[in-house]
Amino acid sequence: MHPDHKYIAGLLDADSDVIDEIYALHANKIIGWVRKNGGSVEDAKDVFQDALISIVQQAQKPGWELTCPFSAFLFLVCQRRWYNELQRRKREKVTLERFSGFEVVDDAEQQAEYALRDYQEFLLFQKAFNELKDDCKKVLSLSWSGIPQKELAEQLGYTYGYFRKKKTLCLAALISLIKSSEDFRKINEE
Amino acid sequence: MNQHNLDKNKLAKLEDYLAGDLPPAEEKQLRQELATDRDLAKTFELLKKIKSQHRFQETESRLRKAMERPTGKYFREEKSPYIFRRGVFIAIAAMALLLLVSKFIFQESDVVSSLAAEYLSPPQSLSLFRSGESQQGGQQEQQIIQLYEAGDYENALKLMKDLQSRFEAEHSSEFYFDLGILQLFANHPSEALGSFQNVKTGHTFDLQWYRAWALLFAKQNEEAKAAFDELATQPNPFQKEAQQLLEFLP
Repeated sequence: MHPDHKYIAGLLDADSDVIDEIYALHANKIIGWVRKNGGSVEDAKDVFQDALISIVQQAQKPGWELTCPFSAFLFLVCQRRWYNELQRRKREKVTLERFSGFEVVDDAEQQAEYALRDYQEFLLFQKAFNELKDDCKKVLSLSWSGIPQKELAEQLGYTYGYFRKKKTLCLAALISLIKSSEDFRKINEE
Repeated sequence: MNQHNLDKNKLAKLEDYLAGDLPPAEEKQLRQELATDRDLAKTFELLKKIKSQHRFQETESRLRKAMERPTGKYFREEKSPYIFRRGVFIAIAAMALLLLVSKFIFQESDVVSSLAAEYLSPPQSLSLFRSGESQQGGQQEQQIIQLYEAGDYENALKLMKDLQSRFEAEHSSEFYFDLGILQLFANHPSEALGSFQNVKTGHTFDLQWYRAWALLFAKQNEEAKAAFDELATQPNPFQKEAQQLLEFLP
């Protein structure tokens, strides 16, 4: 296990001391780099937050391990995240100055890419989920909670059959929303 | 399976399969279908992702909350020094401009006004009538004297100009000096300068003194200073005042 895993563990636990340490160590450098590459402090804030969340999302996956220093991986994700944002804004290829002074293992860049793609997908799914009607949101959230369906049906005052049918219809609506999204097509094209 | 026209039965089966609720026979059949039906396999993958992404929602919210405080602490918009902030800068620039303008518009005229209050006074009487050169105005001359003595220079000037227009050929250097004095004290310095120019004889030092004041009121500062300087450098009734004035003139 990489010695910097303590940062990952702290993030997974939402440990405020660890999070504060990460900010204290890296925020300024990210601000400086984003500003140097056409962004603002506000942009740097979004980049930093999204990068940390993306990393946590990867870290939750079974078998995922940090293979390089945490700072190097964080900067890779931030760099990639800002690159994507610039592309989105300008709709053209952009060249960014790379962070210097970090040695990363070969697959770290790919891991950074996956991390951002997964998080982008998460945001897309969340957006689609929020577009569902309230009863659908409730049925789906409950059905994914691990509580037996018969219990949930009773809880909602539905028959078991109706609950199942309702759940399937809501799921179909969600999938349809996701698949019809332009962002979904883009993510799957990449 | 068409991506926009989902087979609800298949979807229900996929859900049951993921939940481990599918009977073994149906599970086996579904596995076979997943191996051959690409669209169904894609929907199955998407379904798995949706479920796992949904689980991450709670973690994401928790993290965002935990990041609020350090974000506020470390990602503050760097404020430029107080003096360079836009609003402050504009206010300061406007004040500076106002001061600069007021320096020219008000300050200088304030200095001149206060110097005039201290050093400038009109001649005790109008020389024209004192010398008795002009006898033609009669009653009008008396009115001018009264107005002059009462300090009503504007009305005295009006009558003087009327006199000038009626007796055009009669004007002497004395007349022009008096006219210039009235114009000067009625606050028409440029006109006074014109009248003083017509004074050909007499009034050596007092002409120079009042002309210098007319130049000052007409904002011809350099010419005014030169005129006062002439008075300051030679013995004359105005020498001391001229020297003092030159000390204070901006």
